[in-house]
Parts: sequence; structure tokens; C-alpha cells
Amino acid sequence: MEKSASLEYLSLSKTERIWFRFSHFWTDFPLGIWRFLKNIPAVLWELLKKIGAFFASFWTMFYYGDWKTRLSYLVFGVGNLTHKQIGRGLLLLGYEIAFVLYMVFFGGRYISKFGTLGTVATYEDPNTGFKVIGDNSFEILLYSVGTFVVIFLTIVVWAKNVKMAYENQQGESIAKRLPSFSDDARQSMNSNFHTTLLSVPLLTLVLFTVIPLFFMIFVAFTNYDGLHMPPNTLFTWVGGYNFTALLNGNGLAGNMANWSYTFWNVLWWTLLWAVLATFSNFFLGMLLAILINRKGLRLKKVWRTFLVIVIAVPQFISLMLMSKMLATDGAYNVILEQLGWVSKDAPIEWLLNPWMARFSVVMVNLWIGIPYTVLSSTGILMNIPDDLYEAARIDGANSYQMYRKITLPYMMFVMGPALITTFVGNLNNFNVIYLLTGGTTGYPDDRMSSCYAGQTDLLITWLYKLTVNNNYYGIASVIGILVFIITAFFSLLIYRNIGSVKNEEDFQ
Amino acid sequence: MIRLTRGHAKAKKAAGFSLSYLLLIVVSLFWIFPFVYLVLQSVRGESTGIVVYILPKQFTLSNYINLFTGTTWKFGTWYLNTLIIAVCTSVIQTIIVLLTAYALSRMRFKGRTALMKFMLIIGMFPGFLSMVCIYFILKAIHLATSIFGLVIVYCSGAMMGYYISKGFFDTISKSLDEAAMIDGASRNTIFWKIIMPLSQPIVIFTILTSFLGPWGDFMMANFLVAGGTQDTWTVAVGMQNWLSTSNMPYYFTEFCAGGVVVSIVPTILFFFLQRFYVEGVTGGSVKG
Repeated sequence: MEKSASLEYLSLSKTERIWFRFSHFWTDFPLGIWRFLKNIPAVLWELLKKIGAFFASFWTMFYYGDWKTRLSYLVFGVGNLTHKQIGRGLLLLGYEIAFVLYMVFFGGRYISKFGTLGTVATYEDPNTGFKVIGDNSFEILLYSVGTFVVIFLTIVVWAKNVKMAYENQQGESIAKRLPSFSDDARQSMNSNFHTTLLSVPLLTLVLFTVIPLFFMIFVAFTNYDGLHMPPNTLFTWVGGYNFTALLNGNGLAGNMANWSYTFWNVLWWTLLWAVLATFSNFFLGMLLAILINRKGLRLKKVWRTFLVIVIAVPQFISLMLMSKMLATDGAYNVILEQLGWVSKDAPIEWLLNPWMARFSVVMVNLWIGIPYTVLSSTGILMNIPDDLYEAARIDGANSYQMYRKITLPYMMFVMGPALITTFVGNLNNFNVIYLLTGGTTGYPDDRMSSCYAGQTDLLITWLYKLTVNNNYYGIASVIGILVFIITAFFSLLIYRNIGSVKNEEDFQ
Repeated sequence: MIRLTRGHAKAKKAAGFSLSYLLLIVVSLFWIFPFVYLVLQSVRGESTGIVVYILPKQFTLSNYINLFTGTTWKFGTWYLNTLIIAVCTSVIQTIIVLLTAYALSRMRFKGRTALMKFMLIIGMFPGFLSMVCIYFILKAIHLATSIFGLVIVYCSGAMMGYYISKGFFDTISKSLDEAAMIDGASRNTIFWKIIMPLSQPIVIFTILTSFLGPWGDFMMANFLVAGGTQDTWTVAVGMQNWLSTSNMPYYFTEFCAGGVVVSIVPTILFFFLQRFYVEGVTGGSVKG
């Protein structure tokens, strides 16, 4: 914000300042993107240079290495075994043997079919009537991805192995004592403690998050759906077809033309929802927190407890119940009827009318979300130094001015990062939408429902319905990737302006 | 300009407060009405479906008793399943989160920032996307439609939830580590003897949140175990059946009773641990 601090800016009047910021937002924004894009070649070049240097260093080591180092390029652990590091050496050698066996008997079989994802479908032999098991595209793709990870790991181990061999050779030439296996064990609890700590978490992350994720990214480029279901039928690569179908359905026949219509409809509602849900929650929650924390107000704990009950009751219960209470004959309509505000013949269609349903989910989300905001902002409000308010009061500020100039900036400063998380969380807010409306309304849009979406569906609930009930895995993966792009876009946009990420060390 | 007398000011202040109270009462009514409704319906005796009035005419506890004695639905089993899943997940997830957070907060090693960026990027993909694949992996190791399969699913991304704990560890002064290291303590000793005792709030916060996640989860559980037999269901998967169009006339009040029973555990936890929750939400994340 060096602009806002400049003299020129300070000389502007209030309305001019707003206009200044507004116009600068629109010029800075494309500029930022342009700068980001402009940097990509430079970053790639740096990366290439680094990779080049990496391989060059291996050439140097090979050139200056003795026979032990050179042999360890092929046989893992030679450089350790010949330097009395039996433990390390055996582990490395064992790893190589295991890797070769894995590639020969398992990984190689699948990776060779990666290009086609299988050619022989399962069929019934007309002569014998037995089923002949063909290729399984799913397994081929999954195990190929797994094998890629194993190969990557092997390259890392290989590089480490060569480096150790070379270091041992150099250490030997200056008669340095080389670390023994028990030294390694001791270091794993001390300077190498991070390896010990992170090994198990990393293993679970790779196995159950990274591999599945890469798998699904690959699936986005295949025609994996209900008609192409392993093990009975094969699926194969279709390039960017799924992306075209979703983003630009022109030229596609029949049902396929509806996908892009549905996608854009779901997308704008997802974005609108995320903005509405996040900001309504944040500002109303903060106002409520300020109200509860007012000096001299009694029963603070009681008010807070009323709100906290919402957090304590699991969402699936409160939301399922809410969906019944908002029905045409549900509790809310009953009350309104008894008050005489609504006639029995024309109850409010809370979840049936599309726009009413959108309004209801935002309201229910307030009900779910405000307690969290109140809880977290209470602590922060208490941290605002009292003398700030004292000084403002002496200067004659009224309570709105104090809110505008002290409370709000302070809260924004502290809760800014949390706001991104909430925004991204709302983009993917499955529970509120799925459990309340199931994504659909009482007046379905035929073109959307032919693609299994309704007017209140978010991308994430649509993705859920496509995978769980309708087996459109290819399209669902594309939606997942697009959700990632949207999330990354908003995170980057806001992350750039947050100091806590840039100067992490300042806080320690 | 009108000069306010002391009495005026007092009256104005009182008016302001009564407005605040009025507002808070209205807000509170809105917030607790669904729960009052839930409890009232759970003790309603005259009909098991939905009715067009709010106050029950007969009070009974039979809905609660039916939960555990009924033969068509095994609510007791679901409850136990959910408890086992939540406890296992909570333990495993807490360990993973604390180990990761400590390593990333206290140690400076090659690839640290790369790892953090990598996890940030991975975390931007919707977690559900990988479920299709995980389901297959679980099937391959014969854990699909088993409650331990669900534990694995809940813990799969645990490592990426390190942010808040790391934020907390970051606030513990590094000079403590340095002093201990001069006295010859290893990283391992520092972790157990110095950091852990100082981190009680964040440990409890992590246990609490990682327990409540699976306790109230619908999305993953519905995808993984809904296709299996009732013995593998969780409360969320089972209880949704009671609200289907065909079952609701017979099970709505039982659903409400079940809802109350399911809410008891988190309510107790919150009652005792609210302080830590607030500390975790604010203390750990205040890094603006």
C-alpha cells in the first residue's frame, strides 16, 4: 500500500480516495496477473538450470570418482559397503533389489499399458461360455501412477546414494572418521529428527492423498463413466474432450450440449454463494460479538452459550432437521401461520422456489456459521488495547467512528487470513447445501437436471452427485480440477497481500 | 446544541442497553429454537411422524428407549461404530498433526518450504475428488465398507492440517530450545520434555477438532459405508434413512431422539473444553 501513503493520495478528498482505490484495484489486478505470467518463463528457466546443474554435478562426481563411487552409479550401496558402512549399504542394496523385483513383476506390466489403458476388453468366450478377463483400465492407471511415484523415489534414493559414495571417497582421502550406523540412529533423534517425524505422516499423505489425486487428474482426460466401467469395459484417453464439454458445449450433440450450460450456471451460483456466505457471516458475526462484549452488558456467558450449542450439535443433525422445518408444512410455516402472517393455502416455499431456496441456504449458513465467528472474534476483541478506545473517546469519536477506525481494521488485520480459509471453505461447503436442499429445488431446470444438477448445487455437491450416484468420473474430475483453479486463484490473490506468509520468521 | 444532563445521559445509556438486550433475546430465540424443537419432538408421544403443531400433547421417553431396543435399525451399533471411528481418528490425527507441526515449526531443513507449498497446493483440490480412488485402494486391502476404512479416510489428509498447531509452536520462544540444546538435549528430548508440556491447549484443541470431524461427518461416511450392511454404518449414515419419504411417518420422533443422543458427547466435550477451543481458534491462527 505504498500508494495510499503517498502525499498525492493524502491530498485527495474522501470520495476521490474511494474512486482512487477502486480504479487502482482494476488496474493493479491485471498488472499482477501479467507480472505473474511474465515471471513464469524466468522461473522455468531457473528450474531448468537447476536440473542441469544437478546432472552436471553427477557427471563431475563420476569423473573424479574412484571405482567404488563409479560402481555405485549402478549398484546402490557400494560406496557405503566398501567404506565400512554396512548398515547403510545393505539398506540401499536391499532397496535396489526390491525396486528391480517390483518393476519386473508388477510395475512394468502396468506402465507398459499406460499409453492405451488396456486393449483387451473382458468378454465371454462364445465357445466355452466362460468369461475371459481382459485388461482393467482402472488398475492400469492406478498402478501406473503408483509406479511413477516409486520411480521418482528411486531417483531420489539413487542421487543420495551417489552423493554418499562420493562424500565417503573424499572423507577417506583426508582420513576423516565416517559416520557409523549408530551415529545415524543417534542423528535421527537429533539433527535429522525431522525425517523421523515426517516419515509416517508423509507416507499416509502420499498413499492416500497424493496418489489418488494424481490418479483423478489423469481420469479427467479419459472417458471413464457409466458406459466405460472396469472391469467389464475399458476406458481410454480422450484428451481435452471433457474440458471442452464443460467449458464450451457448442457443437456437441444432445445431452452433451447441456453440460456447459449446467456448469456455468452452477459456477456463478457457487461464487455468489461463497461471497454472500463468507461476508454475511463475518460482518454479522463480528457485530454480534461486539454487542455481546459491550462493557456493562450482563449475562455475557449465557448469550455465548446459546450460540455455542450450534457448534456442539453435529451439522448433519441440525441441517437434516432444518430441511424438515423449512418444508411447506414444517415448523417455521406452522409458526407463521399461527401468527397469522402466512395463510395455510400459500405457505412460504423456503426450499422449493429457486431464489427462496438460495436465500434460505444463506440464512441457514448464518445460523451455522455465526457462532464460530463470535467465538473466534471474542478473543480478538478482548485483545484490542483499551487505551486506543480511551484516546478516541477523548478526541470525541462516537461509537460508529470507533468501530470503523479501530475495531474493524484490527479485526480485518487479525482475521484476514482466516477469511480466505472461510471463503475457500464456503466454495466447498458440502454440508449446508447437500443436507438442506440436496442441490435441487421444487422447480427443476430441465437442462440442468439432465446433467444431474439443481439450482442450489455448488460445484462440490454436483461433483459428489456425479461420482456417487451417476458414475461420471471423467467429468467429475474436470470439475475437481476447475475447483482447484478457482481456489488457487482466490488464495493467490489474497495471499500476496498478507505479511504473515512473507515474513514468517518475524513472528518467532 | 443540547446539553445533556447527567440524568439524560443515564437514561440514554439504559435505553441503549435495553435495545441490546432485546436484540440479543431475539437472536438467541432464533438460535435455540431448532434445538428446543428437536428436544420437544424427541419426547412427543402421540405420533411418530411430523405434525402441524410444535408443543407435544403427550410426553414420553419411548423414542429414546426404542433407539436401543428396536430391531429394524441398530442405532446402538451405529453409535458404537461412530465412537470407535472418532476416537481412533482423533488419536492418529493428533499424532500426525503434532509431529508435522513440530518439524515444520522448529526444524530448518532442505525442502521445508517446498513441502509446505506442496501441501498448500494439494489442499486446494477438493478432498472428495480422491475418494473414488481411495475406495478402490481400500477394496484392494479389504477395508472398504469397514469402519477402519473410514478411519484411514479421515486420517489420509491429516498432515495438511498442521497450520494451527504450527502457528502455536511458532509462538513458543526458540531460546528455550537453544538453552536445552546447550545443556545437551536432543531434538527428541526437546519435543517431549519442553514443547509438549507447554502445548497443552493446542494438543487438546487438536484432539477435540479431530474427534468432532468424524463424529459429525456425513459426506465420506455416506460414500464409503452406506452400501454395506447396517453393522458398518455410522449414526449419520443410519439416521438419514429415518427421514426418507417412506420412513418419516414412523421414525421422525426417533430421529429427534437420536439427534439428542448424538449431540450429548460433543456438548459435554464443549462444556469442559470450550476454553481450549477458543484459544486454539484465536491463539493458533493469530498471525496477521
